[in-house]
Amino acid sequence: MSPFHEERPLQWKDLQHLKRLLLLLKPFIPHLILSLLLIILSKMLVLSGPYLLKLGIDHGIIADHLNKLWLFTSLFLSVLLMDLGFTFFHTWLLTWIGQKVMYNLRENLFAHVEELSLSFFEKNPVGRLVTRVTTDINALSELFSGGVVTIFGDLFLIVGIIIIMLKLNIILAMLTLCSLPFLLMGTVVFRKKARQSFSEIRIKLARLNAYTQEVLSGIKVIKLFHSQEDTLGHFGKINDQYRQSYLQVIGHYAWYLPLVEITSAVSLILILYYAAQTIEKNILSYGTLVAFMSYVNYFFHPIRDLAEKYNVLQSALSASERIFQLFDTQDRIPMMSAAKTGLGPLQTIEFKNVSFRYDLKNWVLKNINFKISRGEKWGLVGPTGSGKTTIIKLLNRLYDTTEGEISINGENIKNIAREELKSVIGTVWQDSYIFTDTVLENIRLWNSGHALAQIEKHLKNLQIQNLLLRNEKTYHYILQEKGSTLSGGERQLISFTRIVVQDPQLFILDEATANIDLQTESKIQEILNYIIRDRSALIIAHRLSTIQRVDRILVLNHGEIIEQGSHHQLIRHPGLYQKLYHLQRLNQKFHPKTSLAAIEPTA
Amino acid sequence: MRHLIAYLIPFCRQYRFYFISGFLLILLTNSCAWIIPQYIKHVINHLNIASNEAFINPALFWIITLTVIKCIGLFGSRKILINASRHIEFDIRNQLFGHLLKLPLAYYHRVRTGDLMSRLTNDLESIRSVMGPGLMYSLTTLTLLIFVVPALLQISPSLTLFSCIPVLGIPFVVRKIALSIHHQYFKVQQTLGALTSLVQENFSGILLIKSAGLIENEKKRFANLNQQNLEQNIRLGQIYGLFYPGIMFLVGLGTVLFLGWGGYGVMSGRMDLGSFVAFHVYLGMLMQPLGALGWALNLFQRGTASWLRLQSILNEPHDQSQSLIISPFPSLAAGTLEIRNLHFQFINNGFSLKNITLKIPLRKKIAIIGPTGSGKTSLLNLLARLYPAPSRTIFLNGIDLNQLAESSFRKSICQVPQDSFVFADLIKNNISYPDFSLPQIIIEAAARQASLDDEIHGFPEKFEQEVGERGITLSGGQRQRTTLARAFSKNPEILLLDDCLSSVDAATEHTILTALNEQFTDLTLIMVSHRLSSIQNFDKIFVLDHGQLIEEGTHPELMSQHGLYQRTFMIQQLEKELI
Repeated sequence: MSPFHEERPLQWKDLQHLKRLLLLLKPFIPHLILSLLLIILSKMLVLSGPYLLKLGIDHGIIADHLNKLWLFTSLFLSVLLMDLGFTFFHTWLLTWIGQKVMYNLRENLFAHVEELSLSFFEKNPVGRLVTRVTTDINALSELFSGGVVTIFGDLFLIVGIIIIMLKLNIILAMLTLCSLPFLLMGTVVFRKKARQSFSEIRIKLARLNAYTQEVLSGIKVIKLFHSQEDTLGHFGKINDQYRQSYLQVIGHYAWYLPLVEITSAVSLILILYYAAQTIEKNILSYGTLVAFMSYVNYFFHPIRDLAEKYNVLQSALSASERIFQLFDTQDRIPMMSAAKTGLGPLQTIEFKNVSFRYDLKNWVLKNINFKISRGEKWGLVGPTGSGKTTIIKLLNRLYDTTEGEISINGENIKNIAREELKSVIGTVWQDSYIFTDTVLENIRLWNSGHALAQIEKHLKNLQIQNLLLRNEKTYHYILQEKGSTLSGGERQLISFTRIVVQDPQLFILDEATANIDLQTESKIQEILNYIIRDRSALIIAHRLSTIQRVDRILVLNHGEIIEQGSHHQLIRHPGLYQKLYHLQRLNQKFHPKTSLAAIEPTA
Repeated sequence: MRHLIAYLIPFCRQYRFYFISGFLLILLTNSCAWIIPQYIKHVINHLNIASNEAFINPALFWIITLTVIKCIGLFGSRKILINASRHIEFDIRNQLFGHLLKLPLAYYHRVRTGDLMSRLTNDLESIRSVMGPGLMYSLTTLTLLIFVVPALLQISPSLTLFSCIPVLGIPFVVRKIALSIHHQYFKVQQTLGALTSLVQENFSGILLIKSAGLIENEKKRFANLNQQNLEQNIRLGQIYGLFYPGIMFLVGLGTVLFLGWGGYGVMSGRMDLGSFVAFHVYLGMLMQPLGALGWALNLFQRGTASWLRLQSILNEPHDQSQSLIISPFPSLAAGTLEIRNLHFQFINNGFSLKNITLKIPLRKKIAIIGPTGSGKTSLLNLLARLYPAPSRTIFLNGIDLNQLAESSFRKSICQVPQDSFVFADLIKNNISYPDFSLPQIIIEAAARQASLDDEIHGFPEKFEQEVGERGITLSGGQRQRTTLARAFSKNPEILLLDDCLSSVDAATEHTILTALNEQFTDLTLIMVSHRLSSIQNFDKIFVLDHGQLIEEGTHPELMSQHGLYQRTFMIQQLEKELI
């Protein structure tokens, strides 16, 4: 998020966001009422403190009643204890409400985004989406935990002090309140200045950090051009600008506290001066005097808090705008309400006149027709960008076809329940994705229906226990997506093992292009043969050797099927397949490990 | 803590005028603060005396005057001390950054940039807080105590003892709670971190999640982490809930004890009413500074931890690839760049070079080819001295490469790395980097030689075009040619190109190489390439495989050897025919 974001003035449309935000609080109305009650009670207690002090002085000390002094002292003590309890409880309650709202919002947003279509993810950078679910929602925390309700508390406190003062002594109250406008104005000006300076600081800091980051990641270039001196000089300049922006803000901060001090000193002088005129005439009591001196100091806090709230509201609203925008995105694969389950054993998979495009211009697939029958194994071959992966994405219903239909056992996949489709098809994608979790969960993908013993048996049968549990020898070792604790080959092994455990009726493979070591490679071949032995399969191959024995091969180019037939038919027929085959054979003679991908022409 | 202080002392000395004047202003503030209640006491004691103006008016005058002086002191000390901390922060940041620039490349492979960034921001800030607010608040509070405690004792020792007991507890309570807030905040950040990684993982692995039908499961996993985050946050709320009310309670307790015991004292005639009120004012004066002291104690603790992290950067030894003996830079008009029995193992990626011996004639065009992982880049990096080569393995006209002075070495030898790094700056400055004063004519010539000028003239701002962070507005090929132009503008004697034309089409590559041939006749060019057609007429080609030199010669010589070169060439020819 850019540092320039938060600092825009409130606008009309913000009211709508605010309304939506407040609606989130609806389930918590009883809690909110309770915490409001607690806040007001605690503020009343705070207000009663100086008053009790006054009573203690006037009716105890001055009137020379020791019992009364003890009475008010112990009353004061119990007020303190109650206030401790109330304040703690309402702070806790408000945090709870705020966190609960964010918890719900975050849960809903995550669920919403997860259901969005694959094309949405392809259009939006992952980092931005992550920010919406995490940082942006966090920005609302202050609004809910500290903002909405405490505003009432602050207002109550200010009004309460004014009323008590007026009740104690109208003239003295008027004198004291004279300084209030100055304090108020000073605070508003201070907040405004501080806000401007802080946005200046944020900009300067962002620049400093961006430059530091840039230099640290481009350190090689700096060494190559021997420009350490220049870089340090430039850094010094940016660093200085950052420093200057802070020196400015210190100025603003430094005068605010003295301002508060002086206003309360002026109030004090006025109080004392008035007292000097009146106390002797018994218009004013000593206790009232001391109470006034205390109340004057109470003003400062709620006023500053109120000014603070405006900022909180501002940043919460700009975050909520981004969050609601994401909520309003409705880019998802439609699900039938009465979707089919219980397809029965797989008989056929058919593509009928299937065409597909992302945008209005370019067709990715054009008029694809084929029909795989039970137990058949098919191969898909073609240059990069010819539409192979799109075919299997369509079959997984990650997109819907633009034209034509895909059916399983004659049933259009649009009418098949999502769970049903997933149980029929098992796909190994090019990138073997590893989750940050144990080896066990990575293999069974959290399906607790597959017991550990069962998975152990599978791995034993496939003889890959040693490969996957190499050093740690445990299924509970935690793997990491980043920080490559696994080699490319081991990641692929896990992907294949997932399929063995899942046991789908149709196996789909998008063969990985990365080179892996020979031992793992032959193991993967072995598992692949095991998987497709008694299953239907659709395989995108980069190594033609992978699909030499399949029943039928489709050759794709520019989104169209240009050749099809068995391996033996295709190599006899001059065309793309034959060329690819010769190229690969030539290459493999010299580099047995090289896959087709390494020399696959880019379309 | 001791080490941190030892490190900061030179800075304190450097900014001693700030610290001394800041301290004097604090003394001024506190002495005013100490006198004011005396006048209040005076006023109150004279309130019930008739025609008291003669006593009261001067007192009121002094109260307001002293408050103004106090405020000036408050303003000044705050501004001066906090400014000093910003100056020190500025100095430390420059020092750290300068130090980082001198660390060897291997260091950057070892540490993550994010980690360094966090040290340069968060840890530095906590050191600054020690020097700024930390120092200011502790000085203020301690001197205030020195003034106020005797004043309190003078009014009533027993009352002081009673009412101050809870008040003096404030710093310890604040420190303790601040510490547990810090710990709890860390836990919140941890759960948030776990939550963020799960979201990140989900959105990047969405293909598998959707196709394997894991959405419901992921929602559950998310809910679990979300719940943990919720719980930790609520716990943090609990601690916050204790913080402010807890302090208010201690403050209030002091007042209660004061009212009871002090009131009793007034009634029994041991104390006058003015002293009673003055005592109340003094007591009130202590509250806020004592809270701040607790907070400052917490800052010191955090600063010490941060210091350890910064120290580990400062303790890293500088780049020592250059030997202590500096030889005069040889003329590169003729001669050889020679590698003798070079063995090298890169720690960070496991690539290695085995027993390489080869001679590169100067002022010729040389190519290095080989499959991925064969050691081409490693070799080039050693020639460019990005990593120190073992001594007596690489010789430029007979002089060990390690013995050449860095500045003259960089002036004559330029490398263009594989990852074309551009700065978030104008395209012009990216070409002239690091010498922004380079004449426009040289910049334009370099752009032309890199076949980039047509495209630059197509940009709205021409050479003044901003390229954005990491050159985001440029295509991969444009970025590569920008880094190439950067090297051309330096007119180096030896140019090392590390496969830096991979995103440029063959025709453009041909144009660039032709321009190089015609315009840089004296240049020694050493180029790693995957496109064999572009290096066919080079003077010499070296073929590497698995870290070893397996073939060398000119194109016709290598073609007749029927080795890796010839096979690779044939495959590439076939590929071209395919599409």
